[in-house]
Amino acid sequence: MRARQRTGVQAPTRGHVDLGLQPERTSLAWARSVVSLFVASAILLRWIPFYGIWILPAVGVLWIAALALQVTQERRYRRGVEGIVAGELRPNVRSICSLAAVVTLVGIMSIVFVLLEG
Amino acid sequence: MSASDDEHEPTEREWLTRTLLPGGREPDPRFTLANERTFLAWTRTSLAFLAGGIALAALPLADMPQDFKRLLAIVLLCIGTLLAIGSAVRWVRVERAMRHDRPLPLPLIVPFMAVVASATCVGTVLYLVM
Repeated sequence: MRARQRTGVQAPTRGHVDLGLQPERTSLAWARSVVSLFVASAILLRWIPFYGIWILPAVGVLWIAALALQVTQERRYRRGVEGIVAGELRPNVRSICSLAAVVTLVGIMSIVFVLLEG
Repeated sequence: MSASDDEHEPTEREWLTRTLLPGGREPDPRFTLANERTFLAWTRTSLAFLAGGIALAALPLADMPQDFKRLLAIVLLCIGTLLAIGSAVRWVRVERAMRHDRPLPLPLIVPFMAVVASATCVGTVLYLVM
């Protein structure tokens, strides 16, 4: 018990006092979203026989977003832990807006591709 | 002082954060993270619709008319795109409500999804019967 308290105070990025494991669950949710981005991009590659290299920008956008999210995973987790310890957490506006923008952009691009096919 | 410590200073909120989430005070961090996870869950739902639409348009389905397949793909892609926008809007609305200690807004995308799921079920049954 003492060790847990000491860890929570001295090294908040390695252990914290939230029994609900919020930062870990949130980190896993981001990880699942990264996997979903890769899956969507892999399915998008099936369009290459129909649209050629024109589909690659959409695939590239998804890959860049997925890689950027993966690279910043640890920072987001650490930020969540620090927020829990401090009792105040600034919302992750930039990541959330970026992800929403990427998915919306790819959706619109896909609609345009299908419409142009006809 | 580290960069993460700076983030907790109320005077240093980014322009985007100030614009989207004006006023109020930071809610309980657990609720902020829960809202973030909910946004991500909706985004994954959106990506699933997009992937379905893309797959439907790409895969050869001999027993399905080409025009119908194309229309269905566009519908799925539109739903996925609307969900992506809706998830961000919902996240902002919930975050604003929490910042100002207001009741959480009704999730408008839930009835939307219910209608979509019902229409999909009915459509699938009709397709199989025909």
